[in-house]
Amino acid sequence: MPRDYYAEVKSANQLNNLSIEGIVRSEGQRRILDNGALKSLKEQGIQVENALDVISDKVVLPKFPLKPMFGVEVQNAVELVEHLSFNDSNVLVSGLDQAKAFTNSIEINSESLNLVTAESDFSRHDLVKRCIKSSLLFDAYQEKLPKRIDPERPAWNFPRDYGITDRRRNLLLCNRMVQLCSSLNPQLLAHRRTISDAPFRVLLERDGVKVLLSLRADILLTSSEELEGPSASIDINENRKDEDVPDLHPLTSTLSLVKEVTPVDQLKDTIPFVDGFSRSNIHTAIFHFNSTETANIHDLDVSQDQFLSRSLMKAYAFALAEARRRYGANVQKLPRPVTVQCVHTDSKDFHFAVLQLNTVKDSSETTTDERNFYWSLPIQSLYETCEYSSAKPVIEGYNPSVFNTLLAFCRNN
Amino acid sequence: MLIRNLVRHVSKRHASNTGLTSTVPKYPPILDLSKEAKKRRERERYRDRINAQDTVEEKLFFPNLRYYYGTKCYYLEESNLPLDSLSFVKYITRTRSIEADVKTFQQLLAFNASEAKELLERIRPYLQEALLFELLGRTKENLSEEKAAGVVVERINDVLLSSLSMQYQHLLDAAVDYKPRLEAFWLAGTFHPSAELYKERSDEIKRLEKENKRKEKPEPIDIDAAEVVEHHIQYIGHPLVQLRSKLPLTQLDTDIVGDSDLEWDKFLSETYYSPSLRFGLQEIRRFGTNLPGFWPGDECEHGLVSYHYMKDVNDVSKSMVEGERKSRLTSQAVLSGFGWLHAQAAFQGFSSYQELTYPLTSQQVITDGRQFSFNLYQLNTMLIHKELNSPNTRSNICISLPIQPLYKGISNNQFVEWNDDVILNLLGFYLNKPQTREGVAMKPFVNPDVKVLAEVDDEDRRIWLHNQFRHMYSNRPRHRLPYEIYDWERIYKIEYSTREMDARMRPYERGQNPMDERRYWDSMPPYIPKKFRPKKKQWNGWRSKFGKTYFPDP
Repeated sequence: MPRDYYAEVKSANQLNNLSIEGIVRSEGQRRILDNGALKSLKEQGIQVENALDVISDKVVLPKFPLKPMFGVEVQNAVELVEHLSFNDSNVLVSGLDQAKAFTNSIEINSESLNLVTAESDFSRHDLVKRCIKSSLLFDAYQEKLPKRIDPERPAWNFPRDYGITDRRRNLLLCNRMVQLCSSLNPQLLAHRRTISDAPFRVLLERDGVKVLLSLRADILLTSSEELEGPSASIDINENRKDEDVPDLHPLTSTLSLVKEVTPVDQLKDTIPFVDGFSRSNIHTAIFHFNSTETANIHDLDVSQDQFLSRSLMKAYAFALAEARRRYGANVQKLPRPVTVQCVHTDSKDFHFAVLQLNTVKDSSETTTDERNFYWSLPIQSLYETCEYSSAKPVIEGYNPSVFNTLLAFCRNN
Repeated sequence: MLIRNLVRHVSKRHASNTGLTSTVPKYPPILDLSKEAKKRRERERYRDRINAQDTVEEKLFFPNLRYYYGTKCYYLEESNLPLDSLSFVKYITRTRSIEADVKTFQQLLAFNASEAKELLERIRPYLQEALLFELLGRTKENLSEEKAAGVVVERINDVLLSSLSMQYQHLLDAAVDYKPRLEAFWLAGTFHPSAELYKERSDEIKRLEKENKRKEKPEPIDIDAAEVVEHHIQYIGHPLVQLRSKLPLTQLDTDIVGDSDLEWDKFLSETYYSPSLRFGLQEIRRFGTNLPGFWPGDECEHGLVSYHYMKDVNDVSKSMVEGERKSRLTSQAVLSGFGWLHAQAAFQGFSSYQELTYPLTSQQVITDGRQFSFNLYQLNTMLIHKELNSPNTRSNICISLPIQPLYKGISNNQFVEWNDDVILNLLGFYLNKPQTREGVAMKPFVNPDVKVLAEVDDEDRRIWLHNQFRHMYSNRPRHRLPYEIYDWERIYKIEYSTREMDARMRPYERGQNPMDERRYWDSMPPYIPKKFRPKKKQWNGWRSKFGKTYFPDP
């Protein structure tokens, strides 16, 4: 029976001394009391051995060498390549200037772009409004949305919102608007093709480092004929916005790209369709900005400048893939420039841009005459507000020019 | 004073004399006081209370207010139907399924063959080209079969809409939904009780008999262990693409496909097996949701065409595959047709308790990208439960065509045995023009001044109802975990009574059932911090600390 030390405590002083260490010490010094067993055993002539003598012999256990459970024999080991990567979850940290330096592009005044806008013959803007409403207000999906955070008191937990995710909003709105475009232009059926969810992978070299651009066009419109470069009908020197590609020194244009290691056989260009089909010249790429998917590698919100730079990077990747598809994978000098139109949206703001690819080379390898031309229309909002305001579905400040521009992009030949 | 009272008294007596002298006395109606009749009257009152709700949202909100943790229901998902479930599906939707030939089918759609053939010649090259590209031209890895079928369906719909929209106004005005949320919830008819319920009832009878033995004057036991029951059904559909319009499709001329099948009528009026015994289905608790893909308020609220994925049968033995494939396809067609139309009808103000006043029609295409099944569904009745005043003579109808392959295979970038009939049927669906129903009140039970919640004038009430309705329909778990009987309680207290001396504090020991007894509003209203409350000088009671609620009168 162990002693109950706490039952023996008689004063507060004693209790103070009664620590765990004290108990261990006192218990460790316990002596075995002589209860007369040894004496009586000896009297009866029974041999007694000291217990400590019995256990003092150390038993040596045999050692078992550890073997791996199963052997891994590496056959045809693939070489791993370290490279930089830019994908849909990343944005350039220095924004548009870095994108221009990376893509070797100069910006041209957007007013010079001759867009045949369809304002005169399109009057069914109620259909576009209905597309917006049914995508952003009346779609019955209820998924868990990202956590709401109040910067004033970041520890406060808001009740979790359920609603339409940004991915689905973008998907529904773009699908419906593109569908409306093609419904309004049945004559384009013989010239255009719509490809949904088209992933591209483009490998290139910048500053002696391999860079893999793996980017997705959420809707890709392809056409039967190559899109003519706008520079054919514009005086570039008069309308150029930038003198030359911006100088980022001391930074490099590959800043904020992520390092990755990939087997060498997977490091190759891919486009979302095979050759041999008609109508496969890339015409327009429509891509989404999902705020839950795309973010800075650092903990900052994506700025408008970075949003614009993403348009240029994506347009460049698609144009480069298109150039390699048309003129071979190792093309160095383009016989004709390659033009790609792009539409970048977060289901409210629409950014329309056109990239004319004149050279596939880096800015350091080319002279100031060999630059790619980039037209970027100012960001337009499709609407001012589109939400349930005090439980009423409200759409205010609808901007018809967005759909007109989209229609003009689709019709452009 | 005395005189005045006297005069009043006399005049009162004088006034009441007129009632005594009238020849026709007014008696209260004589009511049937049997248990069944009482239940029926109660259900009628319940129906009237739903009909008295003004807006569509309130009508959808109201039936879920009975239970705090949701209503017990069987959960049927389109992609996961039980094996050999055709008879069950027909029973719970009160549907007669008829396989028709192409001629009858086209007659039902008022199909103009010459016009369609002309269109077909125009569309075919585009369609073939688009499909060939999707099937051979894409370099996409790891695409599941369902997603691949979804992409093909999107392309088919794209080509058809692009080529027809400028010619046919109703297609330009139609709204297109991509993977919409389709849910339907209804009350279905007479089932045998499940084994658990039967045991529960028999135990209760035994307990009452035991009690009666102790009593001097035994009471009659009014429990029938084999009494039939009703079940709520929650259906979740997964359409790939659907088209909606402002106007409904015209009613089908169902006389063409023949008279009602007497055998099926008999089957529909009989009692069905318990779903838990027959199919091993488990009841879950959930707030019932009726959604045809959009919230109330969208102007395009009638369905035109919906596409569904035809899943291959690979979970049964080889001998059963053919039969199961056919049965599952019909089940899918019936459920998707009924579910979509039921949700649409719910948005028109009808429910499981209020019968439709006009039929609704929809068109379904079930496909895996190569094989096509075409179905027409007409919703005639929504009353499928047992508490009816008179037997329901109506039934819903699902008319389907046998499976048709669009092509047999592909060789040298060309389709082998391309089947134009499939495209003609598709064209028949797209060209079927929705029309206004002349002389029919589309929403007879919705307040014409306040059709949807957004039209409610009282701003506080509108916002509160909007938030509550969306919260309920998101089906997120309640704040507190539901009550449960722990395993140790089931073993040591219920199955084997080993703890006789324990205080009987738990609900099941007191004959209570919190899951059924607790109502939706049985909780504290939201607390409002002091700074948001209006400043008042005197104490207004503790209730003024809490927000206002606008639950309809129970």
